[in-house]
Amino acid sequence: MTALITISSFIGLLIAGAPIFLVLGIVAALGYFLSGAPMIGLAQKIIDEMNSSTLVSVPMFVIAARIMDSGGIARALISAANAWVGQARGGLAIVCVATCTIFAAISGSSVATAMAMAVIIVPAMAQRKYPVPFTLGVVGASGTLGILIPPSLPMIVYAVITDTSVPRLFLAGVIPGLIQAAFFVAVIFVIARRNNLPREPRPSLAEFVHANVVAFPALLLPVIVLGGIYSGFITVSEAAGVSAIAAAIIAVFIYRELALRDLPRVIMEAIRTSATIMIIVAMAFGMSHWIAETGVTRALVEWVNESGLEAWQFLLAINLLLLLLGMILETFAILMLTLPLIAPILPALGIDPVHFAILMVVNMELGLLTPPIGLNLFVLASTAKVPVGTVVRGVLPFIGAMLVLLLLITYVPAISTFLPNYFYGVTR
Amino acid sequence: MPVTMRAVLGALETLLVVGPAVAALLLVGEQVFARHFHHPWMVDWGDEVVVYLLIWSVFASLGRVTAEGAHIRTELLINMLSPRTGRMVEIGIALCGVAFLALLGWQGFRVAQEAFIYDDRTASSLRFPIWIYYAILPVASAGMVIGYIIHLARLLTGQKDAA
Repeated sequence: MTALITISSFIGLLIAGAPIFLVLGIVAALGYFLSGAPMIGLAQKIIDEMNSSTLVSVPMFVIAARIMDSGGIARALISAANAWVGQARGGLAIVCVATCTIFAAISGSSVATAMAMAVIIVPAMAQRKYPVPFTLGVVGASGTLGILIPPSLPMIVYAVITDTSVPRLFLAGVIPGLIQAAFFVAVIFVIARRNNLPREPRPSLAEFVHANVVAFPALLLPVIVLGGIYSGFITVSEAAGVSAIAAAIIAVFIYRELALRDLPRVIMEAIRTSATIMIIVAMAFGMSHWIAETGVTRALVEWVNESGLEAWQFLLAINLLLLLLGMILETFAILMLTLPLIAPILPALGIDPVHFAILMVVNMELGLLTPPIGLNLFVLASTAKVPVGTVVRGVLPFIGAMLVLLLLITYVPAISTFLPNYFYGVTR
Repeated sequence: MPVTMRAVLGALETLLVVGPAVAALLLVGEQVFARHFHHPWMVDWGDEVVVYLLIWSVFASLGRVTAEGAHIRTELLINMLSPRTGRMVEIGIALCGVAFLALLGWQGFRVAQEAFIYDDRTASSLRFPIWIYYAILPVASAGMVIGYIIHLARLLTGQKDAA
């Protein structure tokens, strides 16, 4: 009876459009109430689990990303990328992929990456007569690299929920991220050749040097964040804080595109964005605790063991489920709704949680691009003032490339696990 | 709302939300600097205070987030409903929100109260009273209840359409 009431409340609230935090919170409270557990335990669990120095790196990375969005950092990176790769056919599109790859190594958010690019590169590509759907497709798809290439907000949340090492997860995203960028460049080459898209003029030596000198402070940011973490100089949460401080210094005092008086507003916006993520995480802690108490996870693991389900079959089914959920739910909602149930099954099937994290993130990237709830689609449609359908047409070839990448990642775990295992050793 | 009142509330919100976040960032920077370049400035309570400041900052912003209806949700069905039915569903959700958050706030208050009565403190040399950290849960819940009431008032007076 308890299961029936909680599951029907869960589905009913979700479909009715209740905020995800409310869905999780109400279901957890119902579960506690119906099972006779003291309700104070729910509040205690939520507030205790939020006391995590890893988790608070989320708001700090979001602050860093928002400062970078508005502080001239994207513009400097685009100029430098243009000097390096703009001369190829469809040069500006390749510049977008290259810049997003570097920007992703600073920002942990796909939407932040797409927004930063959209403001600058969409008008530039329009001026050079690139087809509008293609332009928006390139920006939307490249923006998704933000959550695959480290640092990555979903990876931090995944690490907290599944008790996995954040540095391991970050390393695991590097090779898949670079493969994805390479796939996108390949798609652009084909489309650029077919549509005879323009090349950018070759810069003079002085222009080339100038673009790189201007971009140098921005290029220091990934060195600070990732170099800091992997050299053991700083922890993940310290890296988040230091990157926010460094981004503020670079944006305000070096590029001077952000006034000091605007910083409180930018930080306020970043904190509000973080709050929408953190409150879901808080309630997910409450719900996953209740699920574990009911013995559902243990029963699921036993069922998996007895059913003879193979890892490849499980991964295929999960991919289909996540692709479906990606069409109707937001990134963090998918993570929080599925992870408490899926994570305990992974060891029973011999699936490395690091490998699984990358699989989930690529699915989330696809979710950002698939209608009707693809967040990147809406960000770009509203920035470029075009219908969402125009963006959807543009992202389709890139979705194809990402599906190939998803299959590769699903069935060749070494793509994700090679780097973390090489640097940190194999975990058993 | 009068302009002066709005300005005062805005300044207060900035102080409660941005203030702790900036303090946390500065403390992170200072601790990294101290660990590598100036050991005497290191403290054993840096990590815990950063967590408390940031959780306070993030949770303190939840009232506004709720009032603005900015929470993450799936809007698939509600967009398909007629405005009238959509509004009814929105009102139902807001009422569920008020009920759940009132309950969570009350239980959160009991958690903080127990920590206060038993004088629970952290293990660091700061011996930080943990009830101050716990208090953010009832405070944030109260903020969200107010946020939902504002949201409800807008829905009922027709100032806001269903999502």
